[in-house]
Amino acid sequence: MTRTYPWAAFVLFCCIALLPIAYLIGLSFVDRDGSLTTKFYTLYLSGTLWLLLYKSFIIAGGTTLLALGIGVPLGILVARTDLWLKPMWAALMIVPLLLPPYMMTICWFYLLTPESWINVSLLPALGLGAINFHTLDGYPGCIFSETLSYYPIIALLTWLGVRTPDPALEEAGRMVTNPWRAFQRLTLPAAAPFILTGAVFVFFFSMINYSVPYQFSIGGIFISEIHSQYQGLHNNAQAAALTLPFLLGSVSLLWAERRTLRRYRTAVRSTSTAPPPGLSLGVWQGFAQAGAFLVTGLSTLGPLAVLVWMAWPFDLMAAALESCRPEIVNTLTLATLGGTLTLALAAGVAAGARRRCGWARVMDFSGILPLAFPPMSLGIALILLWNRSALFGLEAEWVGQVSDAVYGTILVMVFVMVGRCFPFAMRPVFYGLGSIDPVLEEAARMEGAGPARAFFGITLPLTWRSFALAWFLAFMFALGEYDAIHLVQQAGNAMLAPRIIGSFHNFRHDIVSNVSLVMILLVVFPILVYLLIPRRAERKAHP
Amino acid sequence: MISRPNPRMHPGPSRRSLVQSLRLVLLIPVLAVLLLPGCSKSENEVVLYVSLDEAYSRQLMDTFMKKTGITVKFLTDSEATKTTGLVTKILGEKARPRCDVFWNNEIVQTIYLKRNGCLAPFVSESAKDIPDAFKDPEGYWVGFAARARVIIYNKNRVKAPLPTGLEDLLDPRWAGVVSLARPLNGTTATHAAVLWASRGPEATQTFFKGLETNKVKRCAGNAHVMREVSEGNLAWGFTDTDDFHVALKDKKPVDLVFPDTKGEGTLLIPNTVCMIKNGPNPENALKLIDYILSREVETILAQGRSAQIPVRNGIPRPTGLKGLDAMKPMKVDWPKVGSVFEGCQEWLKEFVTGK
Repeated sequence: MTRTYPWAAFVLFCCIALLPIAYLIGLSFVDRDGSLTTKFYTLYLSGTLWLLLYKSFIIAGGTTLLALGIGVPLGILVARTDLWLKPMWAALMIVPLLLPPYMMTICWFYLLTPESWINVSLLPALGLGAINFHTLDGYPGCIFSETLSYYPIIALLTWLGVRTPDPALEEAGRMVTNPWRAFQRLTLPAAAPFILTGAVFVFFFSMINYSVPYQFSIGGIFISEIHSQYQGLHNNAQAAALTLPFLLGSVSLLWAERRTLRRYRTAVRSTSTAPPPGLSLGVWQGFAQAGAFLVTGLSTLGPLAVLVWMAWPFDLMAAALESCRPEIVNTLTLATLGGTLTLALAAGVAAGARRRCGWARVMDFSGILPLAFPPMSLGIALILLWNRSALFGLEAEWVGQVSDAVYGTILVMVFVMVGRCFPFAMRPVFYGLGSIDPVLEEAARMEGAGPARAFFGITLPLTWRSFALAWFLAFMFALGEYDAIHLVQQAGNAMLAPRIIGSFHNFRHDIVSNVSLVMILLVVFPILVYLLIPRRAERKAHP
Repeated sequence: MISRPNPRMHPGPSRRSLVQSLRLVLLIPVLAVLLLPGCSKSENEVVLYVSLDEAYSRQLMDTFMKKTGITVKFLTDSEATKTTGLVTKILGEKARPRCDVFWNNEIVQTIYLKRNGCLAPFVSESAKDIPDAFKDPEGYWVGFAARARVIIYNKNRVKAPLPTGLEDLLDPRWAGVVSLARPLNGTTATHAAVLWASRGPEATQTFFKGLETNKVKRCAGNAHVMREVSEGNLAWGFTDTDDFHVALKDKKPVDLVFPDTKGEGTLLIPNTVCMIKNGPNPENALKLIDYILSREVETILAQGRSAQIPVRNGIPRPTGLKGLDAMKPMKVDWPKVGSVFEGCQEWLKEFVTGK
């Protein structure tokens, strides 16, 4: 990688993702007529703000608590115990992360319709009455649905946390007390920052998600208020002002990440690679199996099964795909391009953040800044920034031409994807680059290899898994993106997520089920490639 | 061991290499723009923003494309932002319009766009037989294929006496089991503005406050109301005839009531079509408008899943809307509704946010 590439990537990343955020912050101080607004101050001193905060906190807090209740035990079970079928439960535990949250909601609407198998057959067979969906609708339904989407974050970080401390520590504890108590007193406190990080992530992801509360008709929360101010009242300053608290979220996420993942890297390097001692479930094995089945059944098996059931016997699949062909092509193309551009930029910024210079910290923080920034606000910011014919009140043809080149083309949609997916792509690359000795690339450079050759010959082969993971994460989030893309999508370039949600509202269950399954397959396909191709190559190399 | 980098050995980026790197990174988005078919600008195209549900509009546009060879690039709106999302887009693009034709599935937001100087007047041959009541006197928009605001009820939950009008939403008998969609989007926003214009601000505000007292559920949109009633989660609610018809076709246990037939009448909201001022393809825009306003399209909309009610004589009315012939349409002063719309929305926004 050339010395200038990180700078070029950082400059472009700033233009694509940070400039709109900065623009929106600036806009929150300026009223429609160009004067400094007083609305900003009145909003933050008014009771409306507290009401918005209260309602938003109910959803985000409820989701976080419930996700902790599910994710922590499951993470411990999979990471440390002798739970039977552990690989299967671990795989099923990850699947909800592959489904966009709105898809989880749609699946549960289907699972709890009055005519559903659960209400018609399962619950009566268990001697229980049918669950009226009305009891789940609104806040409880929203919290339930978001929990099922986000609990794997806490489960995975718990998994990481309870495997991080030096196993020798727990072994020593076992000499004076039983294994479970040693785990509880020594390992669990050490894993607490990881669990806390997961909780912070889930909290902010719930705060910034628009598609799920919208499905439950929940208004009067921060994110829906931003939407209403922009779309309903065309009050851009107010919409911008409402976005500001989310920047504090970004700072919290950065802090949480520093407390955990970086410590994990240090811990892994400094301790032995021996696996931590296992914990026996004993007579609790049956309960643990039932618990794992219940959680993965609610979050993975049930939602996937209902989609298959709705689409069965797939006789409408061809018609549904034909009907959504433009959206599928557009979404796949844009997600691929967006994922690739995100990776190209993330690689540069991550390399810059690894360098020993003052700007490294700036690059590091900038990379995580969009994480807690609502995707919807990013969409609004991109529209307001790039759709213009004047700059600082002065009309100029070139301004319009720039606007045509960005807002008038799919670039604005690619920008959404970069802004949305960048933090997810940058972290794996950042850690991947940190795992190799920079001396290797330096040595290649001293031997006369050019920057590109050194990168492709030395760095990439050693860190390709991090790069693959980064691309996959960017691709996956781009594929399912709804909150921002439904605002910026253009005539002739409609996207799949708005089509699925729109079809759901219009009772086109054939389209929803078939196309959702196709979307899941599109997400799973890169994983299969990742799992199959390298192993085949390795087998060929070492028969 | 890695030593601290020597600034002489690691000079800052030279301008030339920075430009080279920028070129490399820029290559991807440039390729994206070149490769994606939807980005290529064709001479023979027209851009349509349409708030009619995609299921209906796509089929019609396919027919138009086959007939004329003109490519229609169209954009629909989501249920939650029905109409307002596209109106926001048109307003935002006013200085450099990207859209040629706006097909609005209601009328007030079209008047709002006219008041904001986003529309151009036009004359369509196809609109000759549309009654004057559905046309803008200055030629900025034409209405067609109306929908009625009706009561949809679940037959398993509601027995006689059936609700008969808007005021039944305030009846304590129905507390917590009825719905009116959020009055900030779509035809519910139009309905609210009509009440504001006809009853006055105070009476309308009292009505909406009464809805809160009676715990009337505020669904995301009319389709959401229909779904909640169809599945028995709610007893009844206000929706549009097209949403009711979808539930009926889906064999849900629902029926409808045309409200207020003995009072102010049932609100009929026509679709409207208008031409965007300084749109990129004005000639093709006129051709598309002619097609949208044709008897053929109004017939298809009447006979199709959306069951739109024709405003012209001689077009068969949709079947399945029981009581349509006896319906008493409400008399509406649309220009007045357009003039009060903003004030009504301001109040409603504040009211809804505070609840």
